[in-house]
Amino acid sequence: MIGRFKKEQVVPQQHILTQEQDELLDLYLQKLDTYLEDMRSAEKIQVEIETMHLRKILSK
Amino acid sequence: MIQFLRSLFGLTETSGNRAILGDAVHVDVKDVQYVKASNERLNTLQHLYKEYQNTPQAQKFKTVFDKTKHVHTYLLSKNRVYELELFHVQHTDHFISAFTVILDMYQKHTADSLAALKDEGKIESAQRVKHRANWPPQDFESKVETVLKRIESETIKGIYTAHKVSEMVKRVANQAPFIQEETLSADVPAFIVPTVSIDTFSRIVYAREATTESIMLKEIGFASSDQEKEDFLLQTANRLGIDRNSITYVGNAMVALRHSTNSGLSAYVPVIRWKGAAYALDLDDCILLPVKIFSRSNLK
Repeated sequence: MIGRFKKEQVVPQQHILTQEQDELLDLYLQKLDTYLEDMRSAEKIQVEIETMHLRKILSK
Repeated sequence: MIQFLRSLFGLTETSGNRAILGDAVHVDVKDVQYVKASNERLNTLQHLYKEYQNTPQAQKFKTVFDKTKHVHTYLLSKNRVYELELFHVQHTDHFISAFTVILDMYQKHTADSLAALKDEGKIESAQRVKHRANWPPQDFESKVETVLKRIESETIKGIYTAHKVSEMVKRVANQAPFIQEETLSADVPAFIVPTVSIDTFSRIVYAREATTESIMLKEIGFASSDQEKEDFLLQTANRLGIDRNSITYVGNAMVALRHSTNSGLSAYVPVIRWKGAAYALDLDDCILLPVKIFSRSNLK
C-alpha cells in the first residue's frame, strides 16, 4: 500500500443497530463473560477438591 | 500419581475429566462433527464482524468472536466437546440468528432507499438530502452515507459494486419494489383471513411432558376445565413470549392449509384472542395465524 494513495479513506459510520439492539449486544457479551467466569470457578473448585483430597491422603 | 494414591487408599471418585481410553476411537467420530459445527459458527461470527465493520459496535463483534473462540479452544483442549456444542446451541446460535436477521433487514432497507434515490436523479438530490439531514434520525444519515459511498465506489472500484449497481438499475427499470436479495425466494402468498368456526367438542393434545415418570398429555378444548385452559394459556404465553394476561382462549377450530404452499392439510388448532384479534395457533411451528371467528351476527 506504499505507492497507492486512496482518494478518501471513506469509513462511513453506518448505524445498523438501534439503541435496544446495542444493549442486546452488551447483554450477550455479559452473558459470555459470566459463562467464562463460571467455567473458571468450576475449574478452581475442582482444583480445591483435588488438593483437599491429596491433603487428606498425605495427612493420614 | 494422585489417582494412583487415591486408588491405593480406596478414595477413587468419579471426576468430570475422566478420559476413557478404550472408547477413544468411537467418540472421536462424533467429536469431529461437533468440532466442525463449532468452526462453522466461528466463521459465521467472523463474517458478522466483517459485515458490521463500519458500525460503532464493530469492536463488540470482534470481542464476541474472540471470546467464543476462547471458549472453543479451551473446551477442546479439555476434550469437552458436548459442552462446547451445548454452549453453542444455548448462546452462539441465538446470537448469530438475531444479528444476521438485523443485518439482512438493514441491507434490504438501504437497498430500497438507494433504489428510490436513483429514481429521483442521483448525486444532486443525495447531496441536498445530506444537507437537510443534519437533525433527522441516524438511520437516514447512514442511508445517505451509504448512497454516497456506493456512488463513489461506483466510479473507483470494480466488479463487486458494479454488479450491485447494475442490479439496482435493473430493479428501478422494472419498477418493482426490491423484495429479495441473492437468498431464498419464495412466492409471497396472498393474505386471506379465513373465517373459522369454533367447535365445542374437539380436544386438542398439545402434549406436554411432565418431568416425572409418566408422560402427561395435555389437552385443550372448549369444554376443558379452567385449570386446563389456564395451563394451556401459560404454556402458550411462554412459548410466544407474550404476556399471559393479554391472551384468552376461545376454542378449537378446524383450519385448512396449515402451510402456505400446496400442502392440503387441515387440522384442529386452538384459537386464542390476543390484543383483541383472534388467531389460530399452529402448535408445531409456533405460528399465530389471524382468523375471523364465525358468528351468527356475521351472516350475510
